[in-house]
Amino acid sequence: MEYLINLGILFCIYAMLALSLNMVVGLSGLVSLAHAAFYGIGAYAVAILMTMHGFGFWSSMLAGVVLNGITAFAVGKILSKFKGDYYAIVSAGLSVIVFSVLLNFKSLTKGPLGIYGIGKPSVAGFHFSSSLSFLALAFVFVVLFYALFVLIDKSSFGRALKGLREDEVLTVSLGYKTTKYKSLIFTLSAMMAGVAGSFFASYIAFIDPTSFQLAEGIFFFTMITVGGLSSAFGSVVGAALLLILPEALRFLGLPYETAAQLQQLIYGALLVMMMAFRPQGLFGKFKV
Amino acid sequence: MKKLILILGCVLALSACKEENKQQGKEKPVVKIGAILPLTGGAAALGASLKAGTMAALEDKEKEGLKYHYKVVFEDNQHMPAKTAPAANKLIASDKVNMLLTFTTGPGRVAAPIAESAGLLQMCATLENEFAEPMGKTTFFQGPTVQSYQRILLSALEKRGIKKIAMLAANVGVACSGTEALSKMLSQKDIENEVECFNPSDRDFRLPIQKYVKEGYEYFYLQFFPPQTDILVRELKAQNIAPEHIFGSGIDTGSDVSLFENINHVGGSSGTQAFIDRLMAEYKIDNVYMAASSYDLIGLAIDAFENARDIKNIDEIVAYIKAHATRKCESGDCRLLENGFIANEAEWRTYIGGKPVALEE
Repeated sequence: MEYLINLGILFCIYAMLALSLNMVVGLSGLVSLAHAAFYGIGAYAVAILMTMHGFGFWSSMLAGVVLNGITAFAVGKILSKFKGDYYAIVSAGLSVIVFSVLLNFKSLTKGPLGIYGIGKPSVAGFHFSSSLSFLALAFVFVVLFYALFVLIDKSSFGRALKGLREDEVLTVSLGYKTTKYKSLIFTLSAMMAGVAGSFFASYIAFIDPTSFQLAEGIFFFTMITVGGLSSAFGSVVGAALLLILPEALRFLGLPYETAAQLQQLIYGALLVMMMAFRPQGLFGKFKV
Repeated sequence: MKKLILILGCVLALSACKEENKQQGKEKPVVKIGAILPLTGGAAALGASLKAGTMAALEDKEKEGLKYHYKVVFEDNQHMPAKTAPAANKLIASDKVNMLLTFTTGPGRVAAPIAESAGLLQMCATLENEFAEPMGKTTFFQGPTVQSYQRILLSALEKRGIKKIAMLAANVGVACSGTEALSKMLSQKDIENEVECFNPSDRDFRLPIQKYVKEGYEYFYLQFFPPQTDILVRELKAQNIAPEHIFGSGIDTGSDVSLFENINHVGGSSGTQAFIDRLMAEYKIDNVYMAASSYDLIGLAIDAFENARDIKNIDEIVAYIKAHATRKCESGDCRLLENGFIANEAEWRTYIGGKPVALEE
């Protein structure tokens, strides 16, 4: 049971990331690979403020979210000038920069040694130290993120984003300031990724830069591609699938000499097959 | 869609096929050891080495005659702290392991609170560093001390009359900070040096090496993980740096040992020559990095389980380990430090004929 609860927590963190990333990629059609960077900033804000400055979880998380908002707004201004492959390349560049800062700014982040002893949140004297209570709290945020996704999807803001996704020139000709929309959705998505990062840092209690590399950003991108772009439900399903699949492979009873290698091979093959049969993802409404 | 569901169904069905109880397991109560090691990825050669050390310990202890049957369940974490948590949770909740074995400080730190909350012992093979103090009440770290690394290297440089050395390290784990500490110590002894730490993704070292050669550096000290170790050594040789001019710490982490012929390095807990020969022959591995540490840790844990009245009584097991950690180990003389770290000495080593060989300090 404890194992399932812990998987549930990881699922909630991944679901938050998938929902937030799908707002940028799915709703707006902007291929962002910068999500790992914002996830990392959120995680490090909590780790640094809680362990080195005695802040509580919520104030640290808020600081991370605000920092992400400012960073994303500034970067978004630059990014919104790009589209398509160029947007992906520039956003990947941001991910590389943040990873390098986390790795090399040792006086602040402790570099490759990482930061440990990150505490759990508490509300009105109740400490979310048990796995079950932490899962419940993380799940509340998943529900909030899901509701926000659906709300944006059905709003005029969402329709403008989808217009931008389908035909930017046409959307501009209708009087929409697409750069503003791009920047706004990118900022909102980054702030949400900061929340996910805060939960990750608190849950795992030890973070180092390896969890926030560009490869992680590609992994998050895979989650929403498999689950389905522009779909809140698809985001959640994609997060669950990419978490459960490698975990399920641990139970195959493969010979221990080759188990780890075979697991990765099977995992990769399943993903290839899935994309061959359903390139738009399981519940996708849009293809990149 | 139907095909997809079919594929997923197959995976789940296969997942349900658990291993049948082995005949052996029915004879004696089983103690399960969950080993979370880097079995794939860049550090896979190290995982293989620690795996061999673990299996050798089990084999040797079984020869002594044991009360319990010991079974190791291996899980891969690709040497990433974040992948350690689900592996540890799976081992504890599903495999019902009685202890965890981890490698290096990051994964050890992630697994420590998980092990403690489950009331389980965790043993972690690592290097001593400022973070390697035991976390919580049930985790023990073991490895060679930084002081022994420094002493051995300083002695080697002084014996050779080396007065200037370029120090290159990976910005991974303790490699860079350890090299910086070493650099300070060498500076105090009037050995001119310059440290440069590289990102773990760096693969091209031609220009940095050329720069150091141009600045008159003839000797190089390296502290990297594979594949960077291999790439660097190849590049140094390509630029006509003789193996005798290359020093390092953990050179034996490289995956192509034929490259390290006559390169001297401070090695970590590889064990005696007989132990190394045995592991290489029996487990078909080239790399024996820290194999002796996992051998020692598993051996000590088995002793603790064998002597406990109840294998689930973690206090009794921890007390046994504290009382017996200072002993003659395969990785040298082990001693329990005040902070609870089980320390052993680093070794001055090289490769001759493709085999790791211990040298006099």
